[in-house]
Amino acid sequence: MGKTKVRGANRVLSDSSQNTQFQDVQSGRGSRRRTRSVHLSTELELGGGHPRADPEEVTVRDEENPEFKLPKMNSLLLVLMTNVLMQVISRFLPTQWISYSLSPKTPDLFFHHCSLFERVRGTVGRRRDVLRACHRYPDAYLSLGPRATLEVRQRC
Amino acid sequence: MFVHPSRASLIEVAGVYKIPIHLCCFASILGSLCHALAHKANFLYLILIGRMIMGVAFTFFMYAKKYCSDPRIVGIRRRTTLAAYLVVGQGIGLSLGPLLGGVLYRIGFGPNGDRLVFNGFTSPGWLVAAAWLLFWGVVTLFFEDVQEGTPHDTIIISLQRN
Repeated sequence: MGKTKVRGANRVLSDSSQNTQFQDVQSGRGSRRRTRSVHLSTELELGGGHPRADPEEVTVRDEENPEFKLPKMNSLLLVLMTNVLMQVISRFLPTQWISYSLSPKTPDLFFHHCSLFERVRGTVGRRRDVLRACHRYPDAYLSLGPRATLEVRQRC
Repeated sequence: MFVHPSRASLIEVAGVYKIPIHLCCFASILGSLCHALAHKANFLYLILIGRMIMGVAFTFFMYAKKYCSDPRIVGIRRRTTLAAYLVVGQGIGLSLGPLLGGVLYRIGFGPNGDRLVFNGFTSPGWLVAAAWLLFWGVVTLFFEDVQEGTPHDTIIISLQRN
């Protein structure tokens, strides 16, 4: 708390000195004695310096004020990067098993498993049900005869 | 509230975020490898198992949010900024993931590509595993945990004494 008071005091002084310079420039004349009196009057009028008067002071305050503190930049960036990478893999790899289940290049065994995955995902479809039945019971499928198998193929 | 001394000492030794981030990297690599090997092993349930292993890694989502709002290292006026960075990162990852998945599927399968180890199906798993391995190295080198002597540690020590 002591530090804060000191910083506050410095800030007031620097602000008031800035105001003094401003007044001196405006009037075009000024002396050390006059400057001091302006110091006091400005301080009294404003009741302390304006926090935005001196950008350097504001920066110093931002760095030292615990309300504005930040973790080490390396660690912070790594945590943020981990967050991005986790988001990527959470959306990235599911495209892999969706492509497994939807691709015509998928082997039969995979299609059988993927149809179960699809069922788990809740997207039940007639085409997949028929194909799954055919894969699960190939003998029954073949026993339907050529006409029925042709019909199944056309539906699929 | 009572904190067991062994748990408190574990926190002091291991830090708060170091073990979770290492666990996250390890589980991500293992899960990605399961995804990558599913096709070659002809066992699709490896994908499901890999996803379950990745669930362990996803616990770091909570730690990332906690890190960005931890009063020991983040000022109250910085929390919103860091939360915004987290959300931006989530948005980037959310849009980048499916895009990369679609692009990598175009690697294709070659003449007899169904039996290749690295093809359109398995490439995302291998690449993500490599990326995580690299990232794990960077984390090991550069990640610094919360320093000792913070108010949190003081609380634990005082609780131990009581």
